[in-house]
Amino acid sequence: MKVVTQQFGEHDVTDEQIIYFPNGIIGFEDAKKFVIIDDEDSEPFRWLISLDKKEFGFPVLDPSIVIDNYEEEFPPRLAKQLKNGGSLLGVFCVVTLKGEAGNITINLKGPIVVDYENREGKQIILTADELPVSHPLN
Amino acid sequence: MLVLTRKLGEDILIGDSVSVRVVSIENNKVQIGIEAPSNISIYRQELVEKVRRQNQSSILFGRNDFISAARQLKRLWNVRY
Repeated sequence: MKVVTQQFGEHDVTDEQIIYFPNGIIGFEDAKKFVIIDDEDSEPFRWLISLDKKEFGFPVLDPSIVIDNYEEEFPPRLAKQLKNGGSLLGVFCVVTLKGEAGNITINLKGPIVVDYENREGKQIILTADELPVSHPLN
Repeated sequence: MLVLTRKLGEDILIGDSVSVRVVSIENNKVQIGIEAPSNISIYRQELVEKVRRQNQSSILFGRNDFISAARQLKRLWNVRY
């Protein structure tokens, strides 16, 4: 299947790469189907691109770059899964730019968890008070 | 909106699997206990709002903005480590 996005041009996407988000992403509840795209020019960011009507993408980052033992902040069942051979689970955090100042921030409060086994994803909210929605990267 | 009056320690049942209890009442704060299956997300509303706003602002920027952001970060991280 060919996916054409404004920003990334054309991509060949196989069914196996499609991740289904039953509840969408918070604020984008209608967007259910996504793929993760690697874009060399914007590494270390990766892109979670929506395949639904309105094609848009979230820049995401592997949170382990900025935080240690992040899995301990997850609800018990997920935390356990992430600790024991969590290779079938992927955790991504959404990155945002803040206006003219060029601040780059990562949302550690609302990670996106992808289960590669059943190709399902979900954005969850962690309860720990100290985890910020806008953690500065620069 | 359905509005019900409950006393301390009393429950409200929602469907077959969710129960909500008034755990304590103090001045203008009410503590609420919720029992629900683990597949049901329970969040403070204002947190969901924050994450929603963050997600929405994230897609306002384009690939080019993030290419420059990535360059900046890589420079910064090289210096730091």
